[in-house]
Amino acid sequence: MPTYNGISIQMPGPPSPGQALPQLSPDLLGASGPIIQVQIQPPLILAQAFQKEGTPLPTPAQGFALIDTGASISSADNSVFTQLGVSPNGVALVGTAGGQQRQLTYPARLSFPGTNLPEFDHPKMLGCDLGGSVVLGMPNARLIALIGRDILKLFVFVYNGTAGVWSLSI
Amino acid sequence: MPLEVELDFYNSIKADLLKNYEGKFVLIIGREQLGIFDRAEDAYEKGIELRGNVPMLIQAIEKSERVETIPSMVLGLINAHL
Repeated sequence: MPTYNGISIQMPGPPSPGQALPQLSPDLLGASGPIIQVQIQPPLILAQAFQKEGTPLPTPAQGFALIDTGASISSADNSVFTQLGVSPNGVALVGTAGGQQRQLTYPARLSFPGTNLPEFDHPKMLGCDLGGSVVLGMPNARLIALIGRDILKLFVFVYNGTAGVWSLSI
Repeated sequence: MPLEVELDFYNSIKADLLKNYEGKFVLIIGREQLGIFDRAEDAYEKGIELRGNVPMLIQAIEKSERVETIPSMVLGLINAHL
């Protein structure tokens, strides 16, 4: 069963010879949440259509995703779909503080670089504005997606808060 | 917003669709119904085959529309907006 183990580690202090190794950090995991590197591409059927018509395949969007167990639907930053040239394939009704509103949805192909998790097409991701969010403590690590329960239903997700580790298996 | 025409059209035929196709997915582009499918993925494939990479509405045929929730956005827990 392909599994990715996520760990949150922190240096106990500035590195120096003979110092203790980095330590697992439940506090860091609690603050940042489970984060995984993600690559988003057009869905396979659209990539094949691009190839048939001789359209160059767009560069995949690379960044990080937050696993958000509170979200019923997964989402990605609108700029991702603009970059990929993927047209919307539907709308979703989303509950907001100001009432319900409709948002466009897009199909996508997701993979998780650096893991042995398989890539897969997802029929519907919400387009949203992630506002240039970055991973806590990593100013250059751009958050481009939220992985919600619609994708998590494909996986076994284990969150061990006391140890500062989590895992995703399929 | 894109797909407003398609949504209006869907709402105009929703009652008829519910009689025979509840639980399935309808593919609409413009004011044209292009098929009924068991899976959203199949509807998308047909849409790409027929019209290419254009905005399309793949709508679950249901009496009441499902409302999605993303508390992290609604509550401003991350720097994100709908």
